[in-house]
Amino acid sequence: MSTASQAGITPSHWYNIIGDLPFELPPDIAQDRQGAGGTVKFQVPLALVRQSVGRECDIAIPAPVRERYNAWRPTPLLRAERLEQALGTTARIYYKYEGNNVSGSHKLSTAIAQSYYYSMAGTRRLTTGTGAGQWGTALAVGSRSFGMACKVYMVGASFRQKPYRKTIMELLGAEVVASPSGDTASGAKSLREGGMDSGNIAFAVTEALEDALSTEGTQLSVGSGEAYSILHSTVIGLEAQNQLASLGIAPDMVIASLGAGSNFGGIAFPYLRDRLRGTSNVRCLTVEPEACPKLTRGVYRYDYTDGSGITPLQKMYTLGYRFRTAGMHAGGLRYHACSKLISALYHRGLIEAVAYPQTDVFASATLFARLEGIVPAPEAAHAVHAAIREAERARDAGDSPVVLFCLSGHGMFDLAAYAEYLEGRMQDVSVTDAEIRASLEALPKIEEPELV
Amino acid sequence: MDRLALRRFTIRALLASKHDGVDIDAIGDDTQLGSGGLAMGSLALLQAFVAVENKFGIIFDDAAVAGATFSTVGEVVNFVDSVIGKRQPITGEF
Repeated sequence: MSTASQAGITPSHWYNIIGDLPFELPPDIAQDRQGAGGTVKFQVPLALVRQSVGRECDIAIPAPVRERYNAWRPTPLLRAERLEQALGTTARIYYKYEGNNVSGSHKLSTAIAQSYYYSMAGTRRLTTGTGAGQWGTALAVGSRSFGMACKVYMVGASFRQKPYRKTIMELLGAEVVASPSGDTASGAKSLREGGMDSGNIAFAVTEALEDALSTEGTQLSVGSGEAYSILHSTVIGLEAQNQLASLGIAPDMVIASLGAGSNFGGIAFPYLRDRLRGTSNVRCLTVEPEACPKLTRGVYRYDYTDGSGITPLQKMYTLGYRFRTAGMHAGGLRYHACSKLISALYHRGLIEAVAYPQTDVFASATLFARLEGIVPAPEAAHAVHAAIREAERARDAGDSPVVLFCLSGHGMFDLAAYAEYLEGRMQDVSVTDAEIRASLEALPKIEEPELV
Repeated sequence: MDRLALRRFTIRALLASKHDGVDIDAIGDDTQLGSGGLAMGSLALLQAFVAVENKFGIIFDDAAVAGATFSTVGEVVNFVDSVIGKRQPITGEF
């Protein structure tokens, strides 16, 4: 690798793409909450809701958040020169490295911001559910930064497979339990009845919510798929724009992996701003695993935002809220759907999508690690693979585009997955059309509201 | 301040996430927000607060909202009224 630019300062504002959309987003639809009781207790600070629905494009980053950002931002923008040489490509490959913080991933940018707003709303303790552990780790940092306690309900299977994720969350001051846990009524019931020892993210969030509802001063923070999470993550793309501009460069293509949307939106939305305003033709490419192909093979319908089946409905590209991704290593890309913002952009042809199998992704990640000296997280490895494929296409076509991708996290907690790949034990995980059709059968059947 | 107009806009905001056609005239101050009434989630209620903010050009105090609990439509209307009360006349269509 070579450092292209660490110049510049952390941006003063986040970018809200809603203000530039030439269309209205389909409204959320509330669901009847039978048995929820008569009293409504808030789980999200009003400030975050304002950020989810407002149309102001530039949202000032509060000074306490910028101060914490300065501990690791601006993140480095690097050029993958050795990779370019190895591929024999005429493309120039740049990447924004977001693994250079204690949580190891891009999620810290929104975890810090969310924690700030929760603390300002009087929250003293946060709970959350985490799958692979990246979000839990980021929230452990964020909550401690603003003087709040944090309890993480970690999917049981991941808890046992990744013991050092638990350790780092505890090191950073969070309490961590495997879900199902004996700490909540729903978890204790599940443990008594048996059959779900490995847990899943929907149940982990359910336990975190039960904890929040029953504990004074406690609220649930849900993670990275919300519009405000993407908003906070745009600091990544804004920085990249400044850094590349200082070199006199504008990318022809921006690439990022797609889980719920904060990683992709974080780097791509500032570039899409230029496209929406007619000053750029940049292509923005999402990369998803073949095992969870929500954009490339899903449908654009109203669905629940998690597996619980009780959330408000959002119009998204989805594989169905009951879709269960078979075992694959990019835990952060297992989400059954993606953000309504990214879904709407894809539906209108403003962004592109591609899906790859995990053995190809790990092959590219291994090549990248050996040449560039950073081990990509399995999620980030999807972007690495797509960038390599684009560079190879450019080479074969005789083109010389500038490709920018987001290396959203390091994979030092994912070495078991790399061992599986290196020892030839890794299998590709595919999903059949029949499986997707069966999952989509469970979508809520509603009459869609007409847009005005 | 026309409390009736404020009440009507607040209720419209509360109903914004329910596209299945709830009769606004059937909503009373004692209508429950949760089960047995509008069956609203907390996010929909917060979105209603943001709509009220945008309509009347005010900003609710985050901690005051977060620290409050609401069971009925009347409690929400009273909360909104206590904040914007006599701040400005309400005009336009509700």
